[in-house]
Amino acid sequence: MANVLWLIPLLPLLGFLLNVLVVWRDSDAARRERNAGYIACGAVGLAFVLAFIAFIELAMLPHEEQHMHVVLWEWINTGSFSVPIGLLFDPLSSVMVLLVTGVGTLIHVYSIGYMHNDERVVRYFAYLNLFIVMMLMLVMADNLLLLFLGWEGVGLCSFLLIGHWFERKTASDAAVKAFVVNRIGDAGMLLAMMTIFAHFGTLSFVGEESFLERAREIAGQYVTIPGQPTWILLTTGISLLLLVGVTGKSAQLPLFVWLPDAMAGPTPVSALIHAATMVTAGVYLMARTHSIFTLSPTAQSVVTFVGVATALIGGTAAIAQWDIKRVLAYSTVSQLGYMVAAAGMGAYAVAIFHLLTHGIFKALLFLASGSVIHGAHDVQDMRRMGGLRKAMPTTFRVYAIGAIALAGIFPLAGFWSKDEILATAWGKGQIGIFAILFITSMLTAFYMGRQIALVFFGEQRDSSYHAHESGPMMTWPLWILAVGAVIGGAMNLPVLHTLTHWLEPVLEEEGKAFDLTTLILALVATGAAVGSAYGGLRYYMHNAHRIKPNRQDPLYRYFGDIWNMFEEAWYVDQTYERYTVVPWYRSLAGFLGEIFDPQGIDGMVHGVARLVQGAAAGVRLVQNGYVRTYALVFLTGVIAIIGYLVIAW
Amino acid sequence: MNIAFPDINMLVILPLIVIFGSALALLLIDLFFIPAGNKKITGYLALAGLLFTGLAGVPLWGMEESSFSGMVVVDTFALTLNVIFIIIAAITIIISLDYLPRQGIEQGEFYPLILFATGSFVLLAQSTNLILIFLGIELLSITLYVLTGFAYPRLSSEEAAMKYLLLGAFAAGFFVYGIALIYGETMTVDLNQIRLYLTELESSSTAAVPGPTLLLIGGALVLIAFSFKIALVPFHMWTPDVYEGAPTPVTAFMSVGTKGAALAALIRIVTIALPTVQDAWVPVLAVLAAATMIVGNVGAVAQTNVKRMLAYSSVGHAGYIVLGVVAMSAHGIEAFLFYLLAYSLTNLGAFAVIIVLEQRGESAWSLDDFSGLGQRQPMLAVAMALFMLSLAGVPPTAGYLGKFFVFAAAWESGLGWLVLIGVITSAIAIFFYLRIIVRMFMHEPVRDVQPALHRSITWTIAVAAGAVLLFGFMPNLFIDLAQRSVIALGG
Amino acid sequence: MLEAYLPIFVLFLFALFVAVFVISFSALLGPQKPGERKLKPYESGMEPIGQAIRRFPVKFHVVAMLFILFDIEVVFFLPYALVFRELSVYGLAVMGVFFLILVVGFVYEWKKGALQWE
Repeated sequence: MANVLWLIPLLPLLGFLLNVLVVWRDSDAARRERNAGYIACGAVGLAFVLAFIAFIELAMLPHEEQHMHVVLWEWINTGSFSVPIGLLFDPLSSVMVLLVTGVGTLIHVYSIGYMHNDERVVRYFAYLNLFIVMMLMLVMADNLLLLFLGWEGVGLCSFLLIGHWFERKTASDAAVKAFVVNRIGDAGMLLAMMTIFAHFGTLSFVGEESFLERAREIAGQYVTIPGQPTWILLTTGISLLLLVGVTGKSAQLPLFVWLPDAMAGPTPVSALIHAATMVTAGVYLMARTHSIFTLSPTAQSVVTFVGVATALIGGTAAIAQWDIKRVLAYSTVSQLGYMVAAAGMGAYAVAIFHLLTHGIFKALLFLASGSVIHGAHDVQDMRRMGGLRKAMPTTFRVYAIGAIALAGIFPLAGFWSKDEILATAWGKGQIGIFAILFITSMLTAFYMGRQIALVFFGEQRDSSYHAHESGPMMTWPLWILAVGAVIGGAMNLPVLHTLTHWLEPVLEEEGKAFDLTTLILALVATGAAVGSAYGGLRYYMHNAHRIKPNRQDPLYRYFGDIWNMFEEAWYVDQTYERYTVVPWYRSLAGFLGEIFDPQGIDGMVHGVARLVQGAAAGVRLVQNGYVRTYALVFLTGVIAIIGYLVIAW
Repeated sequence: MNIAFPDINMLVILPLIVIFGSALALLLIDLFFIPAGNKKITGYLALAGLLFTGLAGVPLWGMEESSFSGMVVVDTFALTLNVIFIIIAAITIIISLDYLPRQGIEQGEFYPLILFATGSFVLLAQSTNLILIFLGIELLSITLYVLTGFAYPRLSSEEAAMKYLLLGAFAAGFFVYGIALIYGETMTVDLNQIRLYLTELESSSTAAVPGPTLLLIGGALVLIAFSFKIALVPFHMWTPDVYEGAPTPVTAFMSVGTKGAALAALIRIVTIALPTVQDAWVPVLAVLAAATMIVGNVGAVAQTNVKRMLAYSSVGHAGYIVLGVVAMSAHGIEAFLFYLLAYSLTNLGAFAVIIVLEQRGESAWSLDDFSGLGQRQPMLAVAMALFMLSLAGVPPTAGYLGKFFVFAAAWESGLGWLVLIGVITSAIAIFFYLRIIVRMFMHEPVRDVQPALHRSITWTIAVAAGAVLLFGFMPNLFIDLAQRSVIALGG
Repeated sequence: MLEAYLPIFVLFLFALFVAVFVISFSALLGPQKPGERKLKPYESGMEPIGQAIRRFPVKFHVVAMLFILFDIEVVFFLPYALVFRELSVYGLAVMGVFFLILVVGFVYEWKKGALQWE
């Protein structure tokens, strides 16, 4: 299997090429749509099957040798600098590959139903396949540069897919916003890579010479090399730069602002890219490079702080949203905060555990919300919903399962993973962090209860549309994911620690012993979750008559401006708007945005002209078409050069 | 009868003999046998001539010899460049086959002229003597003046040719004057002799002996003339006008071929003759490169005419490609060769797409032509997007690696500030390349453009796009060759 | 040293004498009938005063260009003549190639009709 590992990313690539090269030309719209969907699903499905076979094979290997590595070819080789294109399939990659292809397949199938009759459906499926390719490249890369290539690639696909309905201003704006914000993170990544290369001379993950191994060697023995920064300073620098990349891609404070806006894309895209896979790339990156992070306690505390703060802000923002998808988006931000916090506390296996369970149940929730939106004829405002339980029974059931899983209620998937994170915080004696995470988990339960109440219970508040259940193409992926959300916790039960043990060759973590404190914590946490969820559900069912389109939330009465602050996600976006975007809008960010503006070219020219006004005006003044001017400029250059030589030599 | 042939190795100039011979023969064949209106046959014959020139390089492979008292050499560097030049010329001819009749400017002379120009490229790559280099430059210039004005009744074409001629003559004057000064100082025009002179001067140098001032000034004048050909700021002023006015295949041809050939000759001059005085000219060339990158890319941002945009972009790329020379290292020259290949394939591909969209009598080359191309001609749009990404230097295209190698070489030579300027300007460059991509995929068609997709041009675009990707993924296919070329240069 | 230049000096004096002699004698002996045309500066038949930019047939340009081209090429035969013997048959062969290229150019211009006046 190791020799044919490359087939896993190749299959979606073939799907992409087939769609772009062949299907696109088909003149029969119905057949085109059908073929595009089947090809895309088949490609990802087969990739999943292959990944599963590879996984089994990996599991058969002795524990220490669980590691498949193929170098396909040397990509760049200039003596001192060599970058192989190599694929790595180790325990950590394997679970990510399974998540990406598994959830990916279900979302592809769901998309066939969801994107029915969309006019650009071939393009949609092609980009979706391309995204899978890039994501696989990201998680299977055997060096940081290749990972970065995938990292950029998923960013590009995310941009293209958010902007799928580019006629809508919100969609194209959101796409640009995501792109621009992610560039800030990418700059951090690039700098981190350069620093790593400058100091370790390699970007590889694999083997004795990899920078991870080198970092591991110096762990515990901080050596000061004369004339070099101390290692601890170096690793702190690298970790913080990597963290910048993570905050961009994984929507952490302070760069999370693009994720809620990214909901303007099609809902399956939100499920695949902005919940289950791409946004978790940052967590994966931290797990992969954990031996660097471990060397720097400072960086770890910063990571933990960022994660915890993001979890809280995301959680508070989610309770005050009206848009069904924005609730989930902020919830994703918050849950990603959990993962990052876990990684910051050194519990990488726990972070990956939560990443996997979250990938399943959040994909489920997004797809189910897509089903709601589909059934409610593109209504997204929860104030206009209500009582949809009757019209969409299946969607209601799976939504409830997803919500219970997210809320962390025993015995669904979210309970096990979230509880581990809480236990880690408690076990490390970080009471403050524990408290915030605990409050956040109550918030999580509360907003899920609120959402269920608003969407599915009561009476339909806006009767201008007739809601209907979605077709089987959309519901059966939901059921499969629902099963996953129920039993997902089994992959890392306490005491057994299957996943932690599986990841041990990479992450070198032992499963925590199970003791009474953990049990009590679990009981308290699930109790609190049940209570909050029930509270949210009851409160909004009870106050259903107060909820009308364009009216404030009933809780606004008690919280006032604080509620507004929640709704606007603590005004982070507005702060940027005010202090960075607006002053720079006419210059830098302005023309970034306007390039992609549907009106396009005029704005672009104006925006650019302002930025490079002086220079461009100078260029244009001189470039007047007269040969005599050209000769004059020529002569000026001659005089300058000769003058320089005469004076300097 | 016993003919006393002097000891001259004619094999060294075999490629030159073949290409000029076929150009001359083609001129006559076209004159007597090819009927008007069927000049495509001349084009096919020209392709055959190029093929023979390529084949002529095969027996020379691995050779490293000079001939004609050291005026001409053949080595892997020259042969590698020859391959690139032949590819450039072949693509140019193929994309012209349908373009010329469509524009109503089909004349049989076009193809021999391309061969003559390509021959002058080969000459420039092979000569190690200032006079011969001048000959190459002049031959190149004169053919290009004619080719620029080839779209004869169109005013902009004539204007472009006139401007090019006037400024070209101006620059040629500097070249000759430079050679004269160098000769005055060193009493030779042979590059190896100049180096000898300089090393002797250095070893015998005392405070009483003045430095080689005349040679430096002469060298600077030669450098200026080259800068004109390569279009380095501030000697680039003709570029946007000429590139816009010239028939599109000619623009494509000169944007890549001239740069490659002139830089090849410049590399010979600086690596063979002037390495000992590099402290004097490296800063000059570095500043020129920096100015070129800035002006080229900033200028391109404001353009709405795609052809003119590509003209500015080609100025910018001249800056990047010169970085490889400025680095003055083995890696630098490898980087130059790779960049030249990547840029040639990409730029020719991009111009081929423009040619497909260009209609007779309509020379707007407006961005509007690209609006919604993604819906009407998805394959064409994907190829164009690929070319734009490669020009912008986005991985995993060949253009990305070209930039990477060039920057890495400059960085190694301690030119960090140049690399910084390069990175910033390529960031600026992304915007105007992306603009075309956005136009193609995220806009509705503005007006009806009937793409003239013939089989030959379609295949050319496909092959160019494939090659751009291939070299993006597997640069080693070419890097090995480049490394051997550098060894041949003694670098 | 300077004596070596004596013959040149004599030649110089003689040239001066001839010039003065011819001009002054023709002025003394010839009949004097000045007219407008005779008093104008001699410009090989061109009008000496008028617009700087004038139209005249492009045919002249073509011929002039061709003349210059071939004129310059033919100049190369001069140095060849000096080393004609040393180079022997090889030189002849090389000049033959050179001449052949010239002939191609000539054939081209002939066939293209560049030499046709009307």
